[in-house]
Amino acid sequence: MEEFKRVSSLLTIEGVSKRIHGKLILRDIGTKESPFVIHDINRPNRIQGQTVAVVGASGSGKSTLFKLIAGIYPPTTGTIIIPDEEKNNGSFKEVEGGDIGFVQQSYPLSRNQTVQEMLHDAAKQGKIPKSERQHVVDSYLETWNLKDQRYLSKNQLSGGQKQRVAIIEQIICSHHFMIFDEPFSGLDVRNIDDVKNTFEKITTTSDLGTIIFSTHDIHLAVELADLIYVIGFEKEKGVCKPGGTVIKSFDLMEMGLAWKEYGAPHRELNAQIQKLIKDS
Amino acid sequence: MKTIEKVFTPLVEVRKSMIWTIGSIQLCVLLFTWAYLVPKPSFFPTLGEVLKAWGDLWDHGLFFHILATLTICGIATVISIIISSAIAYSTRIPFFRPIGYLFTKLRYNPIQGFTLFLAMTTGGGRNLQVTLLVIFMSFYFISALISILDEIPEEDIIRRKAERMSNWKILWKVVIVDRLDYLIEVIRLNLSMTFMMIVSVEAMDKSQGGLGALLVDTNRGLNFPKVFALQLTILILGIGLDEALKSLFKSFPANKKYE
Repeated sequence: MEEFKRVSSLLTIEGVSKRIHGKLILRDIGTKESPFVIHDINRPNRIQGQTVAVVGASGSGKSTLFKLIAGIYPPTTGTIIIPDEEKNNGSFKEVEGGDIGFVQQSYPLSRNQTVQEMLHDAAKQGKIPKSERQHVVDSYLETWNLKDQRYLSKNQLSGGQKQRVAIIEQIICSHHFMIFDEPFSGLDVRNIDDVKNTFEKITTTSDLGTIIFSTHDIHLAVELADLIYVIGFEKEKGVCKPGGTVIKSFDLMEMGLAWKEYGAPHRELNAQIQKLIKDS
Repeated sequence: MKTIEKVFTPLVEVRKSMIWTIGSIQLCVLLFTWAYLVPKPSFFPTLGEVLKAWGDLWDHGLFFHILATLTICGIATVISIIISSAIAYSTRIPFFRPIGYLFTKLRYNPIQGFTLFLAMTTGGGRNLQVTLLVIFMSFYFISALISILDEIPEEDIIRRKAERMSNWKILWKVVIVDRLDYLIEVIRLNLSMTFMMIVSVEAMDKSQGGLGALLVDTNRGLNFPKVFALQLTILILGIGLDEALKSLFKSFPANKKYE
């Protein structure tokens, strides 16, 4: 098993539930029995971020959970807390919109702005000083192969280019903590590799680099994540209880599967997770 | 499939140039029929009579009537868009939502009943004409704008929230600025109704001039060549404005077609 150490909490969800228009969508996320905590992981002699996968059947509440974690909407009950980076004294605060980057499945972009204008907006929102914004934008365009697309608008970009612009916007605003909602959905092999490279970029730039992503591809979840949460519906006497919840979590670091080549143990875990989802 | 067959088969792709060619031929046939095949005697004026009437109208100040109509249209549109935008955008603030939606229902209430009241309130003349137009246009603009705003995808709002934007800034950036082209499209799509209303409104006070005033007088005189000439003038003006607004709409990046 690879050596690693849990340093501090980067995200803690406690007793969260969410109702929308009276309907219970999520319940009991983060309990004593089933905690939902993402720790800063340190590995010796390397920069190691955190990759967390959230898997589950469609309609189990994954996207809603992500919107709560990103601070887009408040939970109906419970709290989601993160380190208070502004105070930077070890204290924590409840998450607000903008604290965590959120890359949505459809990669929405502005209708009438160029790539440069969109990234400038993101830099302004990320409180980057005006004198540095152009340099920051130039540097991201260069690193992410979007230099030639600087003056293009959304309609002129390919799917992969839109994805990269959407990701850069969120990185500029939220720096190191990112949520990706179904980033692999509908992608071909080349584009899947692009997304994997993106994950690697984020998690190897800083120890605090953290990605939470959802996917229906359990193989990818097991391959990339060091922590997997399975969201589904608990059953009581054969009947599904309302509201998605964490039915099982897998710590691949403790299991000795994280950061390893995909092999037989990963396939077993894959099968186990698939069965859990089918039965929920 | 042969070209002739294609042209009469539904749901078949043909080149744009083909459509233009068909349209041009049809227009020529129409003009030829009008010029040479209108049976006489008849109330229906020939193309030649209409063109002669056009010349007469032009010599007697048609240009200034066109200018008067465009001026009143322009003033009313600007005022109406300002008022309509304010009401429509305010529906994104919960307190103002019921008021905004009430305005969308008011378009079912004909304003003709309020003409005398408004005449006495505004003092008549140009003020009355502009007020009537503004009220009429606003009801339709507000309805159209609100239905556009209701369709803004949640993802667009979430994206900006995740960028730490305040709700007021999201209202400005996402709802207003990023959808300015929709405002232009709303004006364009409601333009034909606006023109209909302008003609009626100008007829209420002919001292202000305008194509509507001219049309009413010409109709009374049973001068059908001039009536047709004026109708054609209004039609051409409307088409011109429609095309200008369409070009402006298409100049926005969101509406450009790229290869």
